Amino acid sequence: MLKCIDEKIGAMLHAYELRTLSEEDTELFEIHLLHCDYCCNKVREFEEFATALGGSDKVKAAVERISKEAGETQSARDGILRKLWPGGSLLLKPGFIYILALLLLIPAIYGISLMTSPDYEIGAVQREIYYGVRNNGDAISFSKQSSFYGTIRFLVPDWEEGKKYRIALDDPTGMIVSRADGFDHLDDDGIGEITIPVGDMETGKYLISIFDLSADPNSALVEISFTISD
Amino acid sequence: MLSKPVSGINELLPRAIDGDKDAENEIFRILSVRFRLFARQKIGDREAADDIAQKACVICLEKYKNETFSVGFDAWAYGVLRMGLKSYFHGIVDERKKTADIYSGDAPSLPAPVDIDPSIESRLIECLEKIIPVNTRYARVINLVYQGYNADEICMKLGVSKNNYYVILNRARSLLWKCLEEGK
Repeated sequence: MLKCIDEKIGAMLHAYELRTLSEEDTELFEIHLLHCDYCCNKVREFEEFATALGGSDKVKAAVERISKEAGETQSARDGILRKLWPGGSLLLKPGFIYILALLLLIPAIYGISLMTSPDYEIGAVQREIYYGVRNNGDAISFSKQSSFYGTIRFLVPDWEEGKKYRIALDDPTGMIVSRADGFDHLDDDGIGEITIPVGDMETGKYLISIFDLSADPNSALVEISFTISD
Repeated sequence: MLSKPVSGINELLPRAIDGDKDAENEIFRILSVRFRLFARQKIGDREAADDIAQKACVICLEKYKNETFSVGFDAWAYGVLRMGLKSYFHGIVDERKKTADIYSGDAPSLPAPVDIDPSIESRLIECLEKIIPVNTRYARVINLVYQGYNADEICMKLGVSKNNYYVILNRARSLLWKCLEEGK
């Protein structure tokens, strides 16, 4: 027989083997055993071990020893848990503070790693820098549109329609602030313009370099400098 | 051998009463195995347990054909065994009283438990060492059993229902048995 004929009563199996059932339940289980070969076989195969488990002094001593050792490990674990998660307000639980710190630390670390990445440094400023065709005004000029934005106009020498250029903007320390590859938003006179967030930029001398991508991309056609001051 | 497979003693009984010897033998094989198990469960002395089981079987065999089973054959047969066990315990108590009178001191304890095979003990301890650290509730139950608590009291101490108590025990037993059987 592969299955117990009444699993509700069959569930008492190990409680019966340990002799912890009440007289009534023992009777119920034993009547069940009269009919259930599955449970009867289980009790029979475990009989010697059940006897040892319940009656051997050596096993009793071992259970006490193992329980004590396991209990010590458990209480050490409980002790750490109690220290991390004591009673009282949630905000006073060290465990909660650690979790909170961890939650704050993850985006902070992620943010720092992004900020220290040179690509992002350029990109962050680049979002505020607009390259476009000159609207009006003189070529090669720098004008402050507001306390936040300024526009730089530049002339690309020997401009030809359809040519692509690289426009690079370097800060006073020589670091690239922004770079536009394949720039071709130039008007009929070969003049383009960059709008920059001057309010957010450090004061000092900036440099715009214009490269012809179809010629030598590393040799600037022209360099235009401008200064941002307070 | 039986002519067709049968599942229980109550099914076999009408055939045994009608004179089917195979059915009768099968009933008493089933009873004899179970009775020995039940008696050993209650009596530490294995010889005495087997003796009581055998006597109960003989009584059943002698009387079953003439009995009217108001509660069913299984319950009646089980009752016969219980009577045998009661007589045994009464005998023990009487014996203790007599011995106590003679010595005018503490009565001797109940029959000593059976000798346990040392290899069984070692295997059991080995497996308990693996199971108890990962199942401390089982260890707690076993320790409470050693202290003499019954199922209801253990449930109360652990704060679990009877069904949960059975589940805890059977899960631990499965692990224990797996370890004992396979050495895992």
